[in-house]
Amino acid sequence: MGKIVVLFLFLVLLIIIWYISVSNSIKVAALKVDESESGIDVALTKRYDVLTKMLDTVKGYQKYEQSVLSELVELRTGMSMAEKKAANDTMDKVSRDISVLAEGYPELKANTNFIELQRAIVDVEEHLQAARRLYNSNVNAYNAKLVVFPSSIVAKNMGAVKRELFEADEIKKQDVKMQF
Amino acid sequence: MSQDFEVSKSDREIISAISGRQRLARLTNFLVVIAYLGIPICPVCGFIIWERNPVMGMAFVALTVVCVLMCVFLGKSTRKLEAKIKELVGQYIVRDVLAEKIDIVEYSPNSYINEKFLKGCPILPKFNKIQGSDYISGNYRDRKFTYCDLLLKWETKERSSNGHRRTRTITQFLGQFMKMELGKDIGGFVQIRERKNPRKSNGFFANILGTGNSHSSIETENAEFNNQFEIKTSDDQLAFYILTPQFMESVMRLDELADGYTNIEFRGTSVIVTLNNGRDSFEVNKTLRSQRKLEKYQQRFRDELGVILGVFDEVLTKENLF
Repeated sequence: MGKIVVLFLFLVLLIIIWYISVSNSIKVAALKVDESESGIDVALTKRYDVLTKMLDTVKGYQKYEQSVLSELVELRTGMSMAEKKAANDTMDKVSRDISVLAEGYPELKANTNFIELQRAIVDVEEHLQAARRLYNSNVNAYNAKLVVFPSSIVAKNMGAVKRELFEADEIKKQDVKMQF
Repeated sequence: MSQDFEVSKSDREIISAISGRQRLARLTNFLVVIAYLGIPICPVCGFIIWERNPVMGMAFVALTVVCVLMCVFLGKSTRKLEAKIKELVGQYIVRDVLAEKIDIVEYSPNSYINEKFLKGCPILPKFNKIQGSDYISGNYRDRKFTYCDLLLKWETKERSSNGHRRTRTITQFLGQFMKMELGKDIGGFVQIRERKNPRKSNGFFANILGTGNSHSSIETENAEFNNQFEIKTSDDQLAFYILTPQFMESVMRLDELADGYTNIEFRGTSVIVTLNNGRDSFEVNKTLRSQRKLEKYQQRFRDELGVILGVFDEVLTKENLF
């Protein structure tokens, strides 16, 4: 009888240790998601700053950029992932519009300041890509813990909810039409 | 017709200088082996014959001393000859092949990169014995690089169960070491190490214990890459910045080209690539007898250089770092 009690207590202890271990791993995964989300914020802010500088450079070439400037959504703390994605999509559009504008003005293309900003925007966009991929990787790992049995039991008890991914722009997912 | 078969004087001199020394090196090697065998045999013979003929016995014992001296001096001579052969091959054959594709700043057939630097390199295995060759410093596609072949060993002295001391040597690395300068400081490090054994997929208990994929600090979207390589970094975002989908494909192509264990480290302002493939580049193994053999070696060196430059080309696809 005593042996059965000891065995039972041992099993209970194992379950408790397992529960704590899984609970901690879910919390660590959530922290990683938050950390990588802040990486996206930093990258988006940098992109916004560089784009604003680019718009200053193209000022005077066309009045068009005045309205574009107002389109750029200023980033603020506490934005949801959907809002950040919308802001990013707007910046994508502005970046494309500036490139198109530059094609029409050779003197703008040759402007040293503009060339340096173009290099900077490429670098910033690559950093944003990296931040996005890291965030999505961490979110996938976190969401997997919430869904996969038996860690899903612990996640449900903790009240953990799935996090959304930072999806790619719909336009970028489509096939590119080549026009000559 | 005579022109077709005429070998240029300089090529003939090269062949003659190298093949002469190769033959001499083979002879001295052979004599060293004989002398080495003589060291235990001569005294045994001497003691056996001593009773019947003490003079002959003494002669055998003296021959033992001669064998030891031969081992020492001929051994040194052989090593010097081999270094000279390497120097000649390097300066007269390898250098010309290198100059076809790269801008050589320095080429030294018998040198290698600073040992202190190599000891501090985290993607190389630990070692306490080092040999190296074919140190190259130059420019390729306007990028500064250094290269050398390396043989790294770990030697331990241990006592066996019967009290005898013995030396155990393990070859830790035999292959190529390359370093290239980046166009900027990445402000951290990213190490990509090829796994010795492909990673197994998660077992049943990994999910229960919630450990998941704990083998690597970074998991990219490319499952094949994750199974083949382990990634360590000072900054997760920096790792994703460097390991774009295109660059991961480049790394896997580079690994196929190298045909060995590939390790890459991006750190600060440089990138280091090590290829542990069991090969020593730019070596002439057989006697250089003829013009045809010389051309064969030249082509082999071109092929080896092609592999090395192929590695550089794949790394240089990371344009934003250069």
